[in-house]
Amino acid sequence: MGMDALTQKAFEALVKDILPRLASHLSSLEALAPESRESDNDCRFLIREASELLKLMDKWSQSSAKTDLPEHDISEIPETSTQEEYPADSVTEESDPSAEMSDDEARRLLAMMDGTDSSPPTPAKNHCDSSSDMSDEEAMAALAAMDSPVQESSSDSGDEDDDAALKMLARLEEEAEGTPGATQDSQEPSATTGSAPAFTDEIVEEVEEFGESEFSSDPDMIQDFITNADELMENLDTQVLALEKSPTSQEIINEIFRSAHTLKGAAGMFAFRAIERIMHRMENYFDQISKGKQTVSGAAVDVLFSAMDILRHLIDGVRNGKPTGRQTAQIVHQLNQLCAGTLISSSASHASSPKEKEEEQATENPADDTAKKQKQSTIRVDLQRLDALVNLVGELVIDRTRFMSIEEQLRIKGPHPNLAGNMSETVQLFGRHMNEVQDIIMKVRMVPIGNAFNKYTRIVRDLSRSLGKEIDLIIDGEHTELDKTIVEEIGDPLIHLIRNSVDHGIELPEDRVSAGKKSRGKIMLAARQEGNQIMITIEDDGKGMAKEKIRQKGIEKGLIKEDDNLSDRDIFSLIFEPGFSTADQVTNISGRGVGMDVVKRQILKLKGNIDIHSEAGVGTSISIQLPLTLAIVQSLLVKSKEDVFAIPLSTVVESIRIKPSDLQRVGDSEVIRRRNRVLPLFHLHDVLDLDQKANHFWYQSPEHEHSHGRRKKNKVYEERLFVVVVGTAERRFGLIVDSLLNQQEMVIKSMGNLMADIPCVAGGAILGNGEVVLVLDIVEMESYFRHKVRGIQQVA
Amino acid sequence: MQWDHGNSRSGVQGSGIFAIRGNLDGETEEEFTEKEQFIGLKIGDEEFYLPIAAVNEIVMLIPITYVPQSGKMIEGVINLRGTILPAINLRKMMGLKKGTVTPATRIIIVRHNDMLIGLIVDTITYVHSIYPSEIETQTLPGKGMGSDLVTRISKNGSNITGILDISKIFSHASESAKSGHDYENMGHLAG
Repeated sequence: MGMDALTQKAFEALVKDILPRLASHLSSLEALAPESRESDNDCRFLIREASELLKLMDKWSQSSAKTDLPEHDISEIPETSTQEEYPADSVTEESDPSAEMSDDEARRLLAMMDGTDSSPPTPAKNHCDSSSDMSDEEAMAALAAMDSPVQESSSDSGDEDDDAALKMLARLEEEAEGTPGATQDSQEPSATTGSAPAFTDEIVEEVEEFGESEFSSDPDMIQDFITNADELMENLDTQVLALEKSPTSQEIINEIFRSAHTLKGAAGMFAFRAIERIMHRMENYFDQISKGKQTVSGAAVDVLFSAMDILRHLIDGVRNGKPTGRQTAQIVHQLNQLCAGTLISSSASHASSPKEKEEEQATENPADDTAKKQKQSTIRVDLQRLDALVNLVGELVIDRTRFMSIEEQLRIKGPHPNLAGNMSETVQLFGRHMNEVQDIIMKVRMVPIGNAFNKYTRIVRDLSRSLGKEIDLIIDGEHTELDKTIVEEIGDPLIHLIRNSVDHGIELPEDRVSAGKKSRGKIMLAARQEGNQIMITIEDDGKGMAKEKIRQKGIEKGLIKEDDNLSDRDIFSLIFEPGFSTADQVTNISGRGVGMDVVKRQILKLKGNIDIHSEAGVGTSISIQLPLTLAIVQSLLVKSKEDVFAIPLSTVVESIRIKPSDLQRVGDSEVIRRRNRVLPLFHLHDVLDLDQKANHFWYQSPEHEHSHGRRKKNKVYEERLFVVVVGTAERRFGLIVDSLLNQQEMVIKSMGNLMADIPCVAGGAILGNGEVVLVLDIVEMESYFRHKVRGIQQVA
Repeated sequence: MQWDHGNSRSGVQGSGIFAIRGNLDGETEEEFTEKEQFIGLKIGDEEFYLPIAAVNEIVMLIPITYVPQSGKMIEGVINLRGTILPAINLRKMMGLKKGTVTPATRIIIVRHNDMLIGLIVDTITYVHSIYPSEIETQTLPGKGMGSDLVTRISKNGSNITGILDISKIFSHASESAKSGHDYENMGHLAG
């Protein structure tokens, strides 16, 4: 624990805050009551104090004093800082500054400030005792001599302000010296004791979340602070968890200390007092751990986490620009308690700490490069700009397709074959470059999914502790990258699924042992890339889902019939129905029956898919399929009757040609046998009810009228059928189309609110010739089939 | 190019604003207020007016892509320079029979509540500036959608012309879009 940039900043802020107030007060006093010498003296005394302090600090920030004082001297810090602040208040209020306070009380308070409790007298307290009598100058000197401050880059700008403040001080002092009786009693005890109660209030009650700061008015700076704070908090989260696992790792502790310290410094700079205060206590604690005076217990980590929760809340408050009103006194108290009890040893061992401190500082400054060695240099880009860029690239992709069709026409019927040749070449080159641009721009939006994963460790830990379960969360593939929007959107569904696993999946340790399993449960969260898709799986080795119970509930709710012969998969997918829950008891974690349907909807919205598999006594595994990106999709263009539709390649398993005689009928439905599986088939024009088009579509453009004539090609239909096999890995079906056109990259666009809910249509895309083609939503189509034609599934 | 009355004050279209004071053509005081502008259009043989303030632009009949199960009022979607938007079949909404596509057929792109849609009309006629006093709020007694769409009537000169209510067109279109794809209407899938 050292005097650092933060404390220095705080000093400067305080002093700067006080000076103008003092000056104005002085003049008003002189105007109002020229006879009140006493108050005048107080003021002058304070001004003098302040100027001294400022000078000292100025000197101090220039010299890099390396002298270290024993740790307990630091108990001076809060005292001195309040000395400056509170007497000023009392003067302003013209109250009698002789508020008395017993030495005992003062001692207790001072001890508390440094995280001690008041019971046995400790060396530190003895020192406090003497320090309350110590002249302020001595205190200043002690402060100045303390370990050298860590200079934040911003202190440069602060220095200029200091100069200005100093000038003002000099002027004030000149005035003060002109007045008789301006000599100060530097031993004046009222200043010290008077300040103490005020400080107590601050500790026991609340601090204001936002203090005055010259930076806090700058939105860019605030933005920087927030992004920084978010990162640091995330880092802290991971590291604290790691610390719990290996409590002695010096590397982790240093890392934590760095993060905590940086955040504290930043919060101090912006005068976010509440954040600063909590951070400061946490830092104290980490400091003690790093010095081996404390060990990390589960309870301690709990406190740290709840402190971090509050911090997050407070940072959110900063983000929203208004105080959250969150109480922080309690957590500060808890943190104090954490540090407490070790203070006796602390003062003894701290005498030997200068070397450690130097180490800390050594790692402090290059924190950014050492903290994340694997991180490359990065630049923050406004997401909106990036989105605009992505959209623009999308337009370029369309343009390229258009170029290609022009080029083709030129080549075929152009009168200048040479020119056409050049054109072809250029277009090809253009296409190649476009591919690269597209690749890069897509990668820019990609972030590792680990960002979303890391917080789950924490959730699992908290939940399992509160449920009395022992659970390890194993994370795999956190470096898998996917689109930022998807990473953001997938967070909540994943939390829900993981909570389910913890709450319903993993059994209590004793149950696990009696079932012959290890008492520690395991949840596996893994992500991996499969072609254009990301597979996220959540596996637990818990008790699995009660298939029969789900079936019963399903019958109860009228979702299925008693005599329905359902596959396991169908039964499990009942849990995605709205309002479906098999939990006997509603807990605060899960069981209300809202959730799984929301999870599913969210995933479908991301053009993903979710699948569930469970085995009683062995565990449950949920797999989620997500597209890598939402912006550009590879699609297969197919034609049914005269209409062209696009099927996203991510949902296409294969396309095959079959003879009509391969078709087999089961009841009303057509199926084929394909690699030992029975594949239900649908005619695309039936699915989309394209026969209605004749009635509905009045404004056909001339080319379409022509293609109408070609529709008589029923011979092709007789000889060969094109079947596009679509669906997920496990549930597939075939769409019969009239012809396959080509593959294309396209940008799926919304077709406006009016068209948002068209069934089986994900959106529109613009082809090279400027025409709109509809992109089919295979996932939705599949769910229609499941709702409407469960019979076919049975056969399949 | 969205016109509102405020802008039209200074524009060429604002002819009504600084109308000659006094009794030159025997108009009374209240008629010195601003004129409202309308686009005249024909659906079938009948002329209707459409408030110009809502009109974004007018385009030729460009290829329309049929969207299955989108509701019968929605003819399909069009590509307006990279934006895909639905085109409404006003003939159908008026309860008329299928007409023929002529070179005069136009799509009027209108904006309503930040939504863009296209209205397919048989032709457009003129831009009319009409005094508020010549407009009557009037619902039509007729049955069916067509009379629904008119909530005001212009009695400019000898002609009586219905003024189309864009919000009505929108609500009919979105109702139609919803009913077009009820789960129940997907019955053909089950068969």
